[in-house]
Parts: sequence; C-alpha cells; structure tokens
Amino acid sequence: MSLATAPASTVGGVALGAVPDVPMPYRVVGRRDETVDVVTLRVEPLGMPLFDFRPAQFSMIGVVGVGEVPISISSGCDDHEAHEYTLRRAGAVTNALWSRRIGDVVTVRGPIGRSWDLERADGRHAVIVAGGIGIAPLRAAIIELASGSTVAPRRLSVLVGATTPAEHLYTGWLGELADSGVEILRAVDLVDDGDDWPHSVGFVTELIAPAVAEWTGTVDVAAYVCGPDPMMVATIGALQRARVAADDIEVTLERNMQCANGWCGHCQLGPLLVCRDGPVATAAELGDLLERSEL
Amino acid sequence: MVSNVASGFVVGPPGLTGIIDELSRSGYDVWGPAARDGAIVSRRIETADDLPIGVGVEQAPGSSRLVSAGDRSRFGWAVGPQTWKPLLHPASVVTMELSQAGRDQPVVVSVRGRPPRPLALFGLRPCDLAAIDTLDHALVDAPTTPEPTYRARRDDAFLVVVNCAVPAATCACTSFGTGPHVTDHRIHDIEITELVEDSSGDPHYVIMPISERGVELLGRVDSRVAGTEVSDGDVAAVLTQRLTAAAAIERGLPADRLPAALHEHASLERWDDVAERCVACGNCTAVCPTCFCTIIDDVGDLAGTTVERYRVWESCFALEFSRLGDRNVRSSVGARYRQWMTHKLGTWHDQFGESGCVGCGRCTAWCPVGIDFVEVAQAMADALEER
Repeated sequence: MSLATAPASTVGGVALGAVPDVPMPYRVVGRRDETVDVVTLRVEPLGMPLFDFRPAQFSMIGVVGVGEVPISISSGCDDHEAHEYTLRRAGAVTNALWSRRIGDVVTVRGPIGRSWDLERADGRHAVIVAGGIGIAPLRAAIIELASGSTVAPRRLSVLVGATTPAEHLYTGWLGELADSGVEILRAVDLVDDGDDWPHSVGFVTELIAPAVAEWTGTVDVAAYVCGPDPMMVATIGALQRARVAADDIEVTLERNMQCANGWCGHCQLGPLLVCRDGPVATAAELGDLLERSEL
Repeated sequence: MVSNVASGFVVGPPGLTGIIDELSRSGYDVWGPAARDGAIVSRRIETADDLPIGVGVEQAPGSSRLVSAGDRSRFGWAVGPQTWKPLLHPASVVTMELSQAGRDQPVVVSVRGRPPRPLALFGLRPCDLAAIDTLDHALVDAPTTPEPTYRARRDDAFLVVVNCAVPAATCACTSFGTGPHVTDHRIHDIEITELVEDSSGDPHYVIMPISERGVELLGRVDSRVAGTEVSDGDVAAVLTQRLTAAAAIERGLPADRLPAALHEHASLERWDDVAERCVACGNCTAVCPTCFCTIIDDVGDLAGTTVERYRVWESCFALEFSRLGDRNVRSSVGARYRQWMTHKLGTWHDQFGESGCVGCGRCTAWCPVGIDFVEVAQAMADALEER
C-alpha cells in the first residue's frame, strides 16, 4: 500500500495518533493570557479521542509552516475534554502559537516521555518547587496530589518563584488551592516600590529549608522540581542540605528537541536522551550533569 | 566469529559481474565503489569494470589521496569519504507533507512512502558493516518506533562486504573489533575476499554466502559464472590476509577505558587545545558512518498552505544544534568538540550499549585542519592515567 494514498484514518496501516512521528490536528478551544508573554492554549483533537497522559509528559505542538516545539501538558489528567499547553513566546514557533486564536487548528504529537513518579509521595511530604514557567509541567502533578485521587501525600507544599510579581503564573488557581488548605509559598527575586507583594522576596530556594523543617519532624520528602537549569541545581542543593535524599528529588529537563522519538540526537544531556530517558530524572540519576558547563 | 571460507566458491572478475547482474535482475538498485573526483565514492554499478581497478588510497590527518595500487585489484583501498550512510539515511529527505487551507482548517498529513527499489550495497568494508549495525541499534531499535526513513531503506537492503587487505594509516578498526575482516557484526548477505596473486593479472575472489538470502542469490548466479571450489591454498590465503591486514594497522585506542576517561574529562578547559584548532565545520560528522543526528525542517509553498517536512542531517558542531529558547547550550567550540568525541566514544555506551566509533578513520582524514581523532582520545585516556 502506498503510504501517501492511505485512508485518512490510518497512516501506513497504523491508527492516527499512534504514530509519534505524525502530527495530528487539534483545534484551539480556549486561550488564557497568563502574563504579558505567556499564554495557555486549550486544544481538542479533530476527529479522534483525546489521549491519556501522566504528569510531566509533553507533546510536540506546532503550527503548519512554522515548526514544532516540546511543551508539557499543564491541564489535569482527569480533564478528558481537552489538553492545555502553557508557553512563553520566545522563538518563531512559540510566537506563532502565542498568536493562535480560538478556532485555529494546530498540530500535536504526544504524549512523550517519562512522567513524575507521584507514587513516591504517598503518605509523605510532597514538596513542589517551581521557577518561572517551570510551574507548567508541575501543574498536573499538583492537581493530582491536591485531589488525593490516586496518591495521598501527608502534606503538600508548593513553592513557586519568579523574577517579578508580574511573572507569576496561575495566580488565581494557586489562590484557590491555598484557600483549600494547600500550603502555597511564593517568592520573587525583585520587587518594585509600586508592587503589591505580600509574599517573600528572594530566591525560591530560600523557602525550602523553612518549609521542610516546619512540616516534618523527620525528613520524609518527595520533591518535584522544574525551572531554569541554574534554579534546579540550586534547588537540588538546598533540598539535599535539608537532608532530602537524591533519590527522592525529581526534576524535569529541557533540551532542544526535533523528533522526540530518540532519532535526531538533539536532546542529549551527556548520557541521557531527554525524550527517551526523561524529561523526568532523579537528582541521583542526574549527578552533576546540569552543573557541567555547556553540556 | 570468522566466516567459513570453505563454504564458498572462487570466481574471477566476470563472477563479480555475474553477482552484480543477478542483484540487478532481482530488482535491486546496485551501488558500489568507484574512483571519481580524486576519491572513492559510491555510484550505481553494472559490472566489475565499474569498480576502482588498480586504485589505492593514502590517508593521513587532513589528507586522502588516490594512488596506484600497483596491481589489478578492485578493493586495494581503504575507506572513501562518502560512506554508505547517504543511501540508508539520506542527507535530506521529505518524510511527509502537511497541508492546511487556512489557520482554522483541518491539517491533512500524507506520509511519504519508501524508495521504489530496494538497495544492494556492493563492496562495503567490514567497518562500514559494523557502522550499519550500530545505526540499526540507534534508529531501528529506537524507543518508540523505528525511524521510518532509515527502516524503509534498510529493511530490504542487500549487503555485500569485501574484506580489507590494505588498511590506510588512519584505520583503527582492530581497537573496536570491527575489521579488517568481518568480525561479529554478521548482518550481511555475502562476504568476499579479494586475493591478488600477481600484480599483472586479475585477482580472484572467494565468495561466501552468509544469509539465507545470500545463499539463494548465489544459487541463481553460480552456474553462469562457473565458480570453482575453494582450495586449501585459498583458505590459507584468506587467513593470511586477515592476519597481515590486522598487523598493518598501527593505530590503537584503549576503547574500553575511554568511556570512563571522557566522563572524567568533562571540564571544558580539558578541550581548550583541540578547540583552538577545530573550525567547527562539521566535516567529521558528515563523513562519520554512525553520525545520525538530524533536524526537522518544514518548507512551505508561497501560500503557506502546503508544507514539506524534511529530515536533514545536522552536525553537533552547528551552533544552533543545542538551541534552547534564546540561548545555545554549547556555545563554545570546545563544548561542541567534547560533545562529538564524548558521544562517539563514551556516552554512546550509556545510550545504546556499544561504541559509537567503528575506527574507520574518516573523521581524521577529512578534517581540514588535520585533527587526529585517535590522538585526541589517546591524550584524554593518558591524562587520566597520569592522575
């Protein structure tokens, strides 16, 4: 059978959506501006069911004629209507995605990669540490841990840092979570005189020791971390100084990604192929890879 | 494992033509080595006369020259620059077409099919065979699904290997167990050893079927080319060639110690010396038979409604290879050289359970500034020893 003339519901005899190489059409059904340059797109598949995913898994999402980028799925796993992707406009593809309107059709191929191991948090103190847009790959995990639907942490702490107050994402949702009893600690690196900022000023890492010490007599923490590389290095250090084991710290990694199938070699971080082995890795598995200059 | 020489038969050059002819009749698109433009390159071949007769190759860091082999051999040369990689893993290929009539219209994807005829690669060197095995492990045994472009070409490809008698000064296959005769990468169909008895006459060729497909094809060909049985003298000559060729390889690498050594040499300063010489041109990755990295490039028509999705080779020496948001992770040349060498000799083991280098020496011969890959790797291993 010629692949080019295969019926639309299959590609090369394989059902659509099952081929991780082939982009699938998704319609934008919602868009929410999170900050001045960060948007959340809500998308639904055209003519096929929504795929299931686990927190921290990502998709290659794209605009025809522009390209694709890896973006983690930031909606909850229990949302079976649509998926959400939160992205910052930076390059050509994210700018094209940022300018999509409701009704536009984008392409998605996913879900890809290793998810957070949330089971580790069962009965323990779950500590989420997010830097900037790094909260996006953690959102599905927070939703699941807060609901207690699959695992029940003894305590859930969400530590969120950003450069300025205006760069904090999901503030409404985090406020609701705080009202429901989840510990939410927020920090910014900088405040201006005019900023109304009732939370901490300083790096998010400075929140770690107090949070871990306050809520645990003995350290029994499962930590989940995402942010820029230097923030994750600093966070791993702070968690380890608070006596959290390297096996109990998970981070999610970001590298250039083209194919997301382990074929293109772009997402290497030393021995890791991030699309195949990650994006999630434990601090024990990671070792000093993020500290090695220009790796 | 050494192939059973006595299981084969012996022919002259017309016998090679018979095999090429039968491959062609069987529907294969037959490619083999040819001397063109001052180098051994792969071309479509029809007879044994298309092969590089009496041609040798002299190689050194930054240098590769065709010379007279001084005989009528057709395989009296070591590796050429081109490798077989472009045939199995094209430098640029359209993998699919995406069309969308407008921004709110459905996207229709058509996956491009396989090439019209299966490939027969005639005259692979044993290190090339090992390189194809290595690519199979990276691209066919991939985590999600086999890479479709490579697989479509590789699945039906018929592989004819010719053992090496005359290694180049850049060859290091013995360090990696990939040559000079076929070792344990037994994914080929037919194996040939060229025996030159006197420099003025035509050589003869010991033909050994390896795969079932090889047996079947040779079964269809040997009545036409009147092969003779393999004599005790032929068996001895093949074994002698294997030992002599191996002994002629002067370069060696401590391949088993390199992963640990390179892991230790992660600090960028270690790579300052080579970074000062390297021009980051990417020649080494282009001629490397196992470098498989690609980029996805969407090329649209003027209306922007139809896009061809290309899969194109990309070198880790390209600055934007490691692009992440608004920065390039490996901005210095030293970091890029470290990535190339550390991947090839070190982290390939972590990723795929074997070496990414087969010791063919192409990266050294075709480096415009003559960086000697083996020498740099040896220096890394030695530096570890000294500490």
